[in-house]
Amino acid sequence: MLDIRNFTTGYNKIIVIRDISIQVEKGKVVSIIGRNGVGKSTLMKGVMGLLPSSSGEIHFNNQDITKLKTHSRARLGIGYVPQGHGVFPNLTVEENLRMGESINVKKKNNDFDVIYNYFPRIKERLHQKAGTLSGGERAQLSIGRALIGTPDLLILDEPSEGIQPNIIQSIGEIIRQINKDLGLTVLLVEQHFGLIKSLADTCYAIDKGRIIGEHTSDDLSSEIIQKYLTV
Amino acid sequence: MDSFSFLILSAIGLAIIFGMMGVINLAHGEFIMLGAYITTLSCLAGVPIPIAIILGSIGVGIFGFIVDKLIIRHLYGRPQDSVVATWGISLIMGQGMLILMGPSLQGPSTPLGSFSVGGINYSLYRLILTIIACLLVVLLYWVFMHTKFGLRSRATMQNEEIARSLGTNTSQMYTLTFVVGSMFAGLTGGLFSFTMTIGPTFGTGFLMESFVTVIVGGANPLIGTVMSGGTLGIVHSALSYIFGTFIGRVGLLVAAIIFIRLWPTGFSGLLEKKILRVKKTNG
Repeated sequence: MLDIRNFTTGYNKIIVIRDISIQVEKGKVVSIIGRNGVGKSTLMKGVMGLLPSSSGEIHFNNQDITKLKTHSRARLGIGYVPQGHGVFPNLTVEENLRMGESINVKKKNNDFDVIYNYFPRIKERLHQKAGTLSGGERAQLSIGRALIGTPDLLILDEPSEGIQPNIIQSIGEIIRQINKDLGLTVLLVEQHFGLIKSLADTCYAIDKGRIIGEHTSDDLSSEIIQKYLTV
Repeated sequence: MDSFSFLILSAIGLAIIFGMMGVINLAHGEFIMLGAYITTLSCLAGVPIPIAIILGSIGVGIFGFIVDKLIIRHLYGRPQDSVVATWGISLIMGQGMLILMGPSLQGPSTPLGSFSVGGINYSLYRLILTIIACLLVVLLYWVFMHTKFGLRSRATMQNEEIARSLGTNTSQMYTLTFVVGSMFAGLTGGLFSFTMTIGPTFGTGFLMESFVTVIVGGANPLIGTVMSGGTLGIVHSALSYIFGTFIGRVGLLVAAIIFIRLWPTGFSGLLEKKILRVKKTNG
């Protein structure tokens, strides 16, 4: 599904991610963990083409997308939920959702009801400006917006950030549900211990822009996760 | 009414480009001038007036497309740099037109004659200009609020990176926006070419007014422009009517300075604050 090979990227001439290789298989949830500032979001931006690649390749559905522009990558079927949720504050909730319609141009069945089933709160607030939503609602809107475009791969960059604990748990359950129902592949960047433990099939740990550990769900113990997240 | 249509028409193209792209087009006046030339030359070649005006708009739109591809696309979101570059474009256009066409061009006179109400004569053409200005505002509102292009451009304006990562080709959006803004400049030039003397400095008469209207209007290109165009239009025409055109122009500038001093975010910023306050008090 997604194959990142010896990928290096960063901001201008400052290299943040060095020589990283990650495989995401179809239908799996792959998690990337690490402390603040180790380059997790930079890697996601690199995958989306928001940052240029210095070296290495990225393949998506057996197609080399390293040279493609960001919007073309999205249209191939990558749904991106950025860090901080990235809702458009002055657009209504409904308009925010409609912005996701351009993802995955091949599949044109933008089914809003599916999204409302997972996130009933969103339906109640369709005509409200997204800037007036709470943190949890913004996270739901941002995930819903990516799902509207029926992506093949969903990239979630710290969906738990700035959200109260009980909502994190319910979002985690919904992500698991979506993964099962739709067979959706998920690449998840997280620092939230519970979310990683409950969702990830495979887990890569990053430090200082390099991979320092790879674990499957079987050998992913609480102690290991704690070790990677402790400063 | 006359001032209103003048301010709205001269400002709207500039407001769209600045509001959507963060590009300050100092060549806006020269774009208007180019529209006036295309329209006038088409008229002199025997093209009917309405088609000549549309030709002016399309011609400047195409010119805007070329300028965007060659220069502006390197300056998206860089207001200071865009000022220098577009100032250069304005000088080249003004002097280029002087070399090509000479200091002035004799065009057709104002069409449609006049009508009188209560003993005062009004030009029918100027009344039509006002109607066109209002229609354009309504049309723009519809385009930006009810079409896919409008949704994408509003999203791009708020967060370009996120819009891009959701599959919107934002550089195409910027090019389209610049072309639409240029077409409005061309249309303005075409419409006013019948009411003013045409020369290479034709556009400079619009530039000051258009900038003042955009700045007083604030960040929202549509609501801000209409509100500031309306208010400044009233100030300008009232003062011009009582004290003459010179005082009218001075009054317009003084009013603009006072508005900016009182509400630095412009009319649209003021309106947004009011809306937020109402929402907060309602719960």
